[in-house]
Amino acid sequence: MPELFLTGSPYKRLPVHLSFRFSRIEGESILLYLDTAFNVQVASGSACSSRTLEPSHVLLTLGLKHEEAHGLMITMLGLDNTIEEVPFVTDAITKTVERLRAITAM
Amino acid sequence: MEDFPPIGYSKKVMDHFMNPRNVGSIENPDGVGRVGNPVCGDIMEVSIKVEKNIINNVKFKTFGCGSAIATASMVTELAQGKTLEEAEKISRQDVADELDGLPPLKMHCSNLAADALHKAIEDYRLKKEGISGQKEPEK
Repeated sequence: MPELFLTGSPYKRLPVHLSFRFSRIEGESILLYLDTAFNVQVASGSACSSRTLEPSHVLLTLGLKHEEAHGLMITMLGLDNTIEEVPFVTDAITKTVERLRAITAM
Repeated sequence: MEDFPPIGYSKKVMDHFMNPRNVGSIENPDGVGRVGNPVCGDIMEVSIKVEKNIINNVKFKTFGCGSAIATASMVTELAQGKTLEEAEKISRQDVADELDGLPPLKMHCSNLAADALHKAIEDYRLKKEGISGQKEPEK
């Protein structure tokens, strides 16, 4: 997928935790679409649904622009997840990102 | 990340988010309005085609959250077929009301669709009628 960035180290991290950044789309719409269309729950560091509407201050500190930091998506595997679910989720993420990029004004 | 309250979108907001109307950019538009701020995480662009003072085509593009997409979609529905004067009167509140309300946090940052429409109309007037159109020029 174009314009997809892994946040943080590829190696020095928890094996069940992934944090991605997608250009030109916004985190809340990613998680809202994934949840509604595919029943896949992720988190977004853009925290657009929390009180502040601020993107992740960690990403900003790393030197990213606001619009870049807004496109953050975090996935974690839980105890109930199975390895068979992974292709479904990656497919759902791909479709979601393509759809939102077809709408975006950036 | 400590608090994730339910986003609290109405069914209508969700419908417009999941099935947005009039997505895209008009080729050779008569007016374009772009508003928003990447810091907030919301940017909207509305383009219009005008014939005999009536908006006969209107499209939008949005970078932003669910309500930013839904409000832009809604404003294109409201503006379609309206005269320029009618469309200028469409307010942020009208858009929110037509969507059966927005969460309080979203009223401010993500409810810019009416502004984008008004800017598109302003752009049209500037192009077609000159700065001395109906509206006073901005200071």
